[in-house]
Amino acid sequence: MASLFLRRLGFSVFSLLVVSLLLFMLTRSIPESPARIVLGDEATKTQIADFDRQHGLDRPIVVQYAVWLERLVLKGDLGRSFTTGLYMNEQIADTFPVTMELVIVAFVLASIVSVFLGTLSAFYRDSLVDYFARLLAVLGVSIPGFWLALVLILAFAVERDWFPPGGFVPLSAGLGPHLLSIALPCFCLSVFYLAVITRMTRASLLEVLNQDYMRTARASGLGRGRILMYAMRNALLPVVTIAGVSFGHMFGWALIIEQIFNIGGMSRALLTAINQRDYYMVQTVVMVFTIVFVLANLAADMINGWLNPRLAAAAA
Amino acid sequence: MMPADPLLRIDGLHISFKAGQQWRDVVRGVDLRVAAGEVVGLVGESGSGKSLTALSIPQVLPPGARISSGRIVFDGTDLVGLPRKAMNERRGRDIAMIFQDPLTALNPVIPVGRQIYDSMRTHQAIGHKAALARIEELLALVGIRHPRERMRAYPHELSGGMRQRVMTALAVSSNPKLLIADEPTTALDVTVQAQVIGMLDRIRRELGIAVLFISHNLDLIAEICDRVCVMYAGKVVESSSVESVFAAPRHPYTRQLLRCIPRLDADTGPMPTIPGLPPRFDSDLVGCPFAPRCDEASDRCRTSEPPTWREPGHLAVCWDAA
Repeated sequence: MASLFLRRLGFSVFSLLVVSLLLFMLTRSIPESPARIVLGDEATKTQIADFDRQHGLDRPIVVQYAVWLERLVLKGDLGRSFTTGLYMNEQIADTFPVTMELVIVAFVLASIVSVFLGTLSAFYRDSLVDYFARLLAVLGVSIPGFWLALVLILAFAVERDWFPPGGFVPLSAGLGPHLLSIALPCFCLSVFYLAVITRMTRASLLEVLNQDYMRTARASGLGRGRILMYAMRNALLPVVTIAGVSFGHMFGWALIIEQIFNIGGMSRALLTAINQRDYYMVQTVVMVFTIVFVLANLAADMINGWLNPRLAAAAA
Repeated sequence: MMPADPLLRIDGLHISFKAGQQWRDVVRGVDLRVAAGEVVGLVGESGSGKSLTALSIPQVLPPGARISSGRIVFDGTDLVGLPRKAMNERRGRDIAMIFQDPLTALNPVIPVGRQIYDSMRTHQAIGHKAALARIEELLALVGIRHPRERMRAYPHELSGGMRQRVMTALAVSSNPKLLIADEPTTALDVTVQAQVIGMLDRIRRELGIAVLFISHNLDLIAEICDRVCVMYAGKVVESSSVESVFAAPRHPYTRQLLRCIPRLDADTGPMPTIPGLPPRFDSDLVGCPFAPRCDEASDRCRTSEPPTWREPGHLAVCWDAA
């Protein structure tokens, strides 16, 4: 298990390095110097050269990358945006927790409901529960989240004022209002993944239930609880993998949902940065996404290693 | 005087499969007796219905198959139509099963000791420590060295023969009255086969368990069984003590099966085979189902169903058995 962890961790760090290098190169290869954006079109060559020197932009790109990486890894310092002069750590700290909360709540909701529904669906194949779950799964993957969001706002925030139509109420303003403000966004965010994970759970469990070892379990007279546990430990493997990918993926979807519900999460930071041509902030936001994605997959791999001893053994 | 009721009595068992919109019988009226402590062999080609018959006893038939009629009386109770809960209490406790492929029959992600533990704790009022001690004993009994360490092993960490030993320990862990062994050695190397058969025979003697031994290998059957039932196309066509089946087989199918046992001590030319194939389960049968492949068949065999010929301790379903 430790060996599996080290391996996957090494791979994750490697992926992050590759992505960060690519991102850095791409941002720096934009022909327009940030000096032009900051100083305007009338800036003289010397002004631009001064700006570049001040911000270290005149040094070789590899050196720039090394400096950036060193500050990030050793001090957790994302640096200042050359364009806006703002500390990016602060901008991320303001917006990241909001997005993270939306994603975590939506993810937990999607995972619990889908594994439950998928399990019922497989155990009671071709029953009413199964038809309901299958219908829900088809609807969930085919209804776009942004459309659902608009419909829900109309139905439950405009026609009836059960929920606020938008905006984010921080936890400090009270738990009730806070939960109400994130209920619709989290629901919209979770629907697609709920459907995907339900289908995966059902399919995986149906396959496992047909295996010889499940016949052995039944022939041993094990009770329902044990049978479920014996099946789930095998069936969850692909489900966990999909859930890991979904978590990272949800971060991307959260941006659109945040925009619709006017929530000041990372989407605001990203879109503001894009509008201001603040490439350094864009780079940072994308880097944060990548870190979340890689960590989610690492977590999925670890859970699978724990569920399936053969994976851990293969890595040893 | 009537003989005492056998441990297991199967009467007129029909098992059908759903083929399209129709249910087709695959097992067509099997009668079978297993007395307490007796070892009965069930032999036949693939598709003869022997495995389905076996699986129907603890009612773990594959999806799409069902018992359509007949009685399976075990220890005085008809298992057919028994409520799920009552059936589940008998599974593993009174009736245990060993399967063909021990790799796929054990749960790959749960330590083998834990699998035995769960079954034992389901059926017996046994404490945690006592259960662990008993598992160690059981593993030693089936011939596993270092049982304490092996308990923590996963199936993939054991060899094929070891897995089948574990499977046997799991099956006998709650002292069943009947052990159903469905081709327990088919997936094993020949050398390991002999060891596993020896182990099975020893265990069932020590624990006094009746065994229904399913195999297509007549040699194995001769080695450990008291009686043998030969199945063909979903029916028992001959049933007798091992001695008389081998010495004086009454059914031509049995005779041909016996001829097909490979012999190393005589140069008999090419391996004899039974030409043709058993009838497909979805075909309509007229007359004796073996007639198309029988070298002794007459017109009578092809048109009308053969009668059952009986003699004390011997039964054959053939026109020419007498």
